[in-house]
Amino acid sequence: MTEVTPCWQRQVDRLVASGPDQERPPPAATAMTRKPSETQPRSNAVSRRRMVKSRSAPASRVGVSDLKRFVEDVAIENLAREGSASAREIVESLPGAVLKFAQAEAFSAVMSDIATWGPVCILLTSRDGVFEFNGVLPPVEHVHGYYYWVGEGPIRGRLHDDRCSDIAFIEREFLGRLAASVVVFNVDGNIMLKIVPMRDADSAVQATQLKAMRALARRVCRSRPQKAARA
Amino acid sequence: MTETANAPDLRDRLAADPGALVETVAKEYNVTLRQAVEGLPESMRQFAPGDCFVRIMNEVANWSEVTVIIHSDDGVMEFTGPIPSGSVGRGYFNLPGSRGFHGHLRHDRCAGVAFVERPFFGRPSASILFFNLEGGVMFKIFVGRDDKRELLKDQLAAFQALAANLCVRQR
Repeated sequence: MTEVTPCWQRQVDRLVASGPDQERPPPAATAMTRKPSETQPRSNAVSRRRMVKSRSAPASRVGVSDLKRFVEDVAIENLAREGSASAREIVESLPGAVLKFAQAEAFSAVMSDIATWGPVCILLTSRDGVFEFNGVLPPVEHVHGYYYWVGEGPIRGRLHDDRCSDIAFIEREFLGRLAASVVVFNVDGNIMLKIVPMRDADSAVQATQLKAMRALARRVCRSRPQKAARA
Repeated sequence: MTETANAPDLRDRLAADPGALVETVAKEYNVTLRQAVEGLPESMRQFAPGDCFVRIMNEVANWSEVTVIIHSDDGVMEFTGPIPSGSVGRGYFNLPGSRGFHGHLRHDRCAGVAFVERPFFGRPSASILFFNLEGGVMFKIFVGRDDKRELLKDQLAAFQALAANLCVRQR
């Protein structure tokens, strides 16, 4: 993992510091709408973290940290869309990220395991938005070139198996907290979908899901991240 | 309306088989999804302008369970459940919530909306298709069904009322 901050990180920082918000933000959220230079030294992660902790997320609204996480997700995919780097390359160079990769062949095993975790958040990102579904993933069936999520539950779907390139298990600190996700990349280096463990009342990643995610990663991932050979 | 040279053929094809997958038809005729939907028989589709996006979404938020479908190059994901009402902020239509469907949608990329009522796999279906600037589909919302797989009557009535309110039938 490179120690040098990648060129796109400043753009992500700026976006994370500035948006998005509800139309009428609660007073507590106004600090977020200020330019970073007005409230803190530029790119000062410590003071930004303090700033985040001093606010409480508005009740029954999209939480501030949710929005910032979302902005970063969108920033990564927008940058990827601009063609400077693939989403995969950007994720691989996320500062401080612990990455483990499983091969596409592990898709059924990964998704069938996640189906036992209870409700998770499934994210799909396109240029038209970020679509998120919270719920229990049904078991996956691999038939005729597709992975199918089947059943009578609220979430269903199918993905071309030959579009899947590999699966990353990501843990990193974001906004002063641990963030964890399972990201499925397609053969173009873009993100097919992303599974995010739920958070508990304190906004920490649910301990049982984190444990399950780590156990799964140990089972299906190569022992070293793909880029380790270069370091 | 975005007519194409092969529109008569496309219209004939869809008149003969109005339940065809628009994704398949669009590929066959090398047209956008929007053009394929426009090729459906006139009685089966109506169009509203793209700036009705927020109004439509917040109306559908009152409809109980619907099915949201998102296509990508990689496949299709579907979710059945209620849609929360949302609000515009920072360039996104933000759908709050920690259960079911939520997210952040680029309402400003909506260039038009189709209200489609047509047979689909042998049954009546009613759907709202949000078109993006490229003529693709951002996502679709299908009117919910009951235990017998029949369209929910109150939702269908709300769908038709909304369409009547917003749409201009195009030839």
